[in-house]
Amino acid sequence: MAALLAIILCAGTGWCVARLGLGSGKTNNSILEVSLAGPFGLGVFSLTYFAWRLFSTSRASLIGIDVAVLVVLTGFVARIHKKRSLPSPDTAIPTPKLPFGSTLWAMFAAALAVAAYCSIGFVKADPQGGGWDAIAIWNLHARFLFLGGEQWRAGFSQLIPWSHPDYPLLVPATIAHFWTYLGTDTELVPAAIGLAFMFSTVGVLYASVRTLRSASQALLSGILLASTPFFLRQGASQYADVPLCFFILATIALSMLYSAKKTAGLLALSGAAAAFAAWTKNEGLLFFCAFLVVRVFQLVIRKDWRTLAAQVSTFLLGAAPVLLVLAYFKLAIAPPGDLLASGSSMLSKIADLSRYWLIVRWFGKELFLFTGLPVLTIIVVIYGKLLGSGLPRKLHDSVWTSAAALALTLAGYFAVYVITPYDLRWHLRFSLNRLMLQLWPSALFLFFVAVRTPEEWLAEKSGEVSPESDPASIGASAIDKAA
Amino acid sequence: MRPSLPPSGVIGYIDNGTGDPITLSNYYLTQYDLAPLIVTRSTDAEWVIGNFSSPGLASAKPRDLVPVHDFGNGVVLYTKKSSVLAKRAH
Repeated sequence: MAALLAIILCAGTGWCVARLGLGSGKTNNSILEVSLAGPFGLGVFSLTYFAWRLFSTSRASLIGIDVAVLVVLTGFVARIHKKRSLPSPDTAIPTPKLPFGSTLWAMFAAALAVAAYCSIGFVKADPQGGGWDAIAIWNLHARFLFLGGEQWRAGFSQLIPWSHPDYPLLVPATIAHFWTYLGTDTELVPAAIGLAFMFSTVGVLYASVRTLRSASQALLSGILLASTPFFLRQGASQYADVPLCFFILATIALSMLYSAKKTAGLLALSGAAAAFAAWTKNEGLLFFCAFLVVRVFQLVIRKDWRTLAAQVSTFLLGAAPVLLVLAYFKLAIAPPGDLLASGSSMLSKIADLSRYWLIVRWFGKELFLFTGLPVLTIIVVIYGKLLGSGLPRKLHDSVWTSAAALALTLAGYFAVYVITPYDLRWHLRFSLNRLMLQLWPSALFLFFVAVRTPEEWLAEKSGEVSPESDPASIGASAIDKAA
Repeated sequence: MRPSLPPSGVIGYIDNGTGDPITLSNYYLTQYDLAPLIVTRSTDAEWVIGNFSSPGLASAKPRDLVPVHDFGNGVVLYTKKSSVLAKRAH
């Protein structure tokens, strides 16, 4: 009963947040709505739990806060719904039916079924998580929050630096929130949260590519992500990398939908997703900064000050509640991070060129190996080569800024390896594949938005569209219809 | 072991000191199970857990520790000699 109440409150809260961002009209994109609702609900649950932990220890007051948050958000949704009496335009893009459409659907369904089977198998095999970080970091922090009473801050003590007490709390606080409802620290909670994030990532990828490009393109992207063995393994591992995958993808996908629809709510929701990424892992904070810097830079070089002010303020408005909580955690509770070594040793590492060469080689190797199925990367390259570029003009800037943000984040990861106080080989061996995975769904999203769809390719082949015409215009017309 | 320990605070931890992955994982699991207690890998605490369950070097138990309870499988709860003497003096 307590579990059901927690799920209802969490899902309801997430649905309201998603609705506020997507707009209250008929969106015809229930998969996107559902895929966003779960993780956004979990994100809000982590914030409310952290705020509650600061001031109270009573379980009844936590339930009261959750109900109050849901009521307030429902009120906002209802108000927006009243304002917009006219239904929103249908965002689904009419596309010609493919002869092999049903085969793609069957493959997607099979990939999801296999993903579910494998991930549940992983959870059964390792109920405490698929690696030491689950026990030594994420679930340990959750236990301190849940069991610590008024002494919960002890969990973020420098006496146990190996537990990375500076890591943000989205995952631990969400787990502790559900444990508080249940009254017990069952391992089912972190496992279920991990799987929810994993399937929501597939859902957002499918639904956003479906909205922006075509059904077959969306199915292909979903099949590829759901067939990535390392993604499935990490989804069941109770680490924070797949939740971070989700929020990075949501940031990029929502900002791209904003470029197509120009609804401010989408940009605010994108800002909230970016801030939740920062509240999930320190790498998320790097991504948040990279994404914001690239977007600002793009508008500054155009000298489009009005758009700059409007877009940045809307983005930051969505991010603000999460950023405030993160700032409080970082400044008042968390000790300094462990990656910034002393100045002199850092300088000697920066000057050591052999470190750069070693990192470059590892990056090159992991680029093909991190998925756990190197053929996936090869399939993506061949598919892109075969179909060619078909980037809609309206999405051109958005795709390039998002790609630049991912590249800047990757460059940040590179820089961290250069100065890491740990043994470089050890650090690369145990973390680089997860860092690559964090960006994988977003990279797939950008790829499938940028590449020509099978529908466009077939239309061109059959002579409906002349090969000389700009392929981008096909996508652009589809986006125009959507917008 | 949990009822023998204080509800919160810092306790120490010693093991065979080999630094192998099994020894390290035993330490992580001990911290996980005993949270919200902080378990530090040192003997600088009133209560110290000795975990000599994994094969390795002989234990290097500091002389100022007194065994309080032997839980079997090489797991022993120690306290400081000084705190025992202080309790006796009271």
